[in-house]
Amino acid sequence: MGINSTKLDVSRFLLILIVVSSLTLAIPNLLRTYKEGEGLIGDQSYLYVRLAEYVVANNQFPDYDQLSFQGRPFKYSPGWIFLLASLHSLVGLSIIALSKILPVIFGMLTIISLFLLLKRFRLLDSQIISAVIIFLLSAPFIYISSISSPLVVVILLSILGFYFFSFHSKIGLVLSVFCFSLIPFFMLLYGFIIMALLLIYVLIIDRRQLKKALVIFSFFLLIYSYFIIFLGPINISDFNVNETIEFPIAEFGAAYGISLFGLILSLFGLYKLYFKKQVKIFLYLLLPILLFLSVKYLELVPLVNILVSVLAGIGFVNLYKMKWESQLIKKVTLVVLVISIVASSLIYVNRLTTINPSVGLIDGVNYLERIGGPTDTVFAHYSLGYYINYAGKKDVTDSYFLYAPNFKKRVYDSNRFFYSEDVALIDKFIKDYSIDYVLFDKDTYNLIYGEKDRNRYLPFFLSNYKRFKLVFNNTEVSIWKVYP
Amino acid sequence: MKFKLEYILIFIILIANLSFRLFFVNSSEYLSSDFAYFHLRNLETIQSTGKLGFDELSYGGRALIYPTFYYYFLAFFTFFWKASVVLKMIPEILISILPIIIFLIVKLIVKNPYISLLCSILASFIPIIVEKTLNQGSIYSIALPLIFLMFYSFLYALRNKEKVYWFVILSFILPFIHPSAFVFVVSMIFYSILLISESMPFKGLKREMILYSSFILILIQFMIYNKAFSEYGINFIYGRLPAELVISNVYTFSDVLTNIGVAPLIFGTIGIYLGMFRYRKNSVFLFTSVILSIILLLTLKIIDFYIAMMFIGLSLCILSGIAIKQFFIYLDVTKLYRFRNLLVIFIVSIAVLSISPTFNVAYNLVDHTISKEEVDIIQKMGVRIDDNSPVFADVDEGHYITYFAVRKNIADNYYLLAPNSKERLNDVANVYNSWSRALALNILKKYGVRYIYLSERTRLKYNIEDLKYVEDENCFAEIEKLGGNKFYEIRC
Repeated sequence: MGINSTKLDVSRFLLILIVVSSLTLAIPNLLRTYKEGEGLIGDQSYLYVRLAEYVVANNQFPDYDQLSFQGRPFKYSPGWIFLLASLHSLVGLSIIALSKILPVIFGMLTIISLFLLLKRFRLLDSQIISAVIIFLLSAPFIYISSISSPLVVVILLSILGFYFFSFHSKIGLVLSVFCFSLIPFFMLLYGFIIMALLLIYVLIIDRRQLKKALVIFSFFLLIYSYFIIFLGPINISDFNVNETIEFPIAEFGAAYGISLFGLILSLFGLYKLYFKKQVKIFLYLLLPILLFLSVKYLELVPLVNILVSVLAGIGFVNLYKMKWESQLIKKVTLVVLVISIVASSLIYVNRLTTINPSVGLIDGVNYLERIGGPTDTVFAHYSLGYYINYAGKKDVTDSYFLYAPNFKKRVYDSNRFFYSEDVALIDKFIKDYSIDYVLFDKDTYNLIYGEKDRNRYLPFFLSNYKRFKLVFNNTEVSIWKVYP
Repeated sequence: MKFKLEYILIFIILIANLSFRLFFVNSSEYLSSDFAYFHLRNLETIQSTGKLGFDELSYGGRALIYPTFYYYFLAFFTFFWKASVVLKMIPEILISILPIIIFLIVKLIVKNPYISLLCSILASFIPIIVEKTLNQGSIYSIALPLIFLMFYSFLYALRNKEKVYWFVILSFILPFIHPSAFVFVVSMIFYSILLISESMPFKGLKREMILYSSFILILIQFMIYNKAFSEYGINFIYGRLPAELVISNVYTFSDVLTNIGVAPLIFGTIGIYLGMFRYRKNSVFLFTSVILSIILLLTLKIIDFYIAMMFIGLSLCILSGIAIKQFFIYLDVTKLYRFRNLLVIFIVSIAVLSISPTFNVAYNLVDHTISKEEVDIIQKMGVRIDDNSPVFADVDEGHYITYFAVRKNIADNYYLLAPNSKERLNDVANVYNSWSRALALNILKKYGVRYIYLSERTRLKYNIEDLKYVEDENCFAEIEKLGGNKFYEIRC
């Protein structure tokens, strides 16, 4: 019996999809709770929990955030914070609990929307099923459905936007405008990308929809005008940039990279679509651009992952249907591919349960919460900023660069401090930024100093300079108090 | 039952090769490289615990990831012999099978048993293979025959489609043996590219086998090394070799010549030319792809030079068969046909003469094997050290310390997942080279070292007579000396 020999029972498949996806996506947080105790996955979760709690405490969006960058205007994308805060007030669940549940629900909805969208594109049932399963098991999707971040909503809105856009009706347009317009409220960067994506799609694949696209485009312009007028100009370089230029592959240790096997399979999908001229132009133009951008902006990886998963699904079916000379090799190859995708996913889920914050880091954060006052500033690598803020302390820098005050100067000064070989420079930095504590964890220590000589630079002074005293130390984290 | 002459001859080659190896293996009580003792420790660990995990002695304690299939295979023989004997004997038997595989491959390509025999003689005595596998318990003793057996099964399956299951099984086993299985994948990718670019048929079983083997090799390698991959990313392929070691060495043509040998290099190169441009043979494309992929990996510094030379050497031996065959075909249509026998003798003489450097390599290897004096002094110190402090020794002697003294070392030459390997390597070099007592003490204190080992080979390596700061006897006391090897105790 062939892979596509029976007609797909949509409602039954959707039901299975809901059950399977909710179970799959709930596993990382459940496992994490079981293995590492209470705690959220990823640093972003701590940012949004803190901000949502901040909003709940103030009963409105405040104007100023006292902690991030030692104080900055409250210019965060409001969508996810609003969702967490309002649902907390409505349902009564804690924000931490919501931060674990909501991504799973949105993840499940994303899976269903992708299924519906692919149905609209008239792919074969077998291609849709394999694409959806590959997407569900892909590392970037599991990641965004396990952390408390607006990424999963943005992906859902993008898929829904395209889904409604594909209908040739007014209600379709309205719903599409609604979905697309919400995106910038969750993530500003994605707004730009989706807008570009939509235009490329319309220009290459379906020019009849150009008018509709222009309507959406004008709504986008309105929204961005709002952001520019009320929040200030948007500088693209202020978005969080990946420090290391390495292509994000999950198997190569990327926090949420694309699966290598998915990528290989997608090549077979691309080959299959090679003969469809318009699709070919669209994909051949889009994929390199998105891949290039996702090396710089890791947040785009989940978007690339959609394309890769769909192509991989097509590729898998293509391989299945290909004429094989040896049935033995055919069977073994397909089994190997299925095992690869599942194993890659399982290995990733296991890794996800142990990625930051580790138990040691949480202990360090708890220690910070207990000591000193709320005006104290803790210096650390910017990737630890959200944890410092969560502990109720100010940071010098964190990963939310957009609209951050003088972030380039702060990052520059921080780097000089990390690599300082001079006491005068250290004293100046401490004075300029009123540093009360210095925090290192194992990862940032290795990231900053790597294979460099650790007997120089800041670590040397932390051990030998009398102004620093080690007040907390475990296998992961060390905290020094700075004396005047 | 009548035996064919070719089988008798290949059996003689096998015995000659094995005898050659066993002669040198038995000329020393010990294994001929520091890394061999890494294998021996692992084998003994597998024997006693059944698995490898955390090595408490290497680098003062480090996670250990190494293919275990080889050790499980060897562990079977430890039911009959001591682990050290197993590690001396079994790998030699395994690598002695390699000429038979080369014989089968060449025979498949040129369909002439005598030319195949000549190529298998060349393959038996490639200097670099002897240098890297003789009396060292090297994992390449099993990896090389298996990889070339894969190539054979690939070519064989193309001719006998019903025998494809051998290829299926070998593709499954190979990645468990050694990460160098990725050479096969890269070669297959190159092979596909070459076939497509030369408008050669690339379809059917050939394409299917390439797809299958690439997928399964990548999958299994990822499953085995997922921890290392997630920690180092793509850099894992370098085995986290410190950058200096990756890029510092520059190799010349004479290195290639001495490592591969003159005969395979000349005949093999002619074989590539003839096979690629004159006769467009499928199998030539395959082994040319092996050479090209190795050159690429070497250029990208992904593969060690000596390992690269092993693969290139063997591929050239196979391709030599084509050159020799074409030479005799050409000879038959010329007036020189009268001297055919003379020329056969000449070519066989070249092949046999090309073996002679291999003897030098083998003698040299045995000469540099760890001596009884060295072993005695290291063992003596192992007994003397009464605490958990590590012994400071050169990286190339780190495994001697962990095996013979059963003490921690500061660094050794297995870098994968080694903590701060670059820093440690620098520190080791600084302690042996430095004039500054303060600098040396600072480094030694960092690791909590109480004893420094200075061997004859370390003195040669760093070109020093002694440590330059040991005149202060209150601080550095020579507590053991045997021959040119000594131990210092740090007392300040």
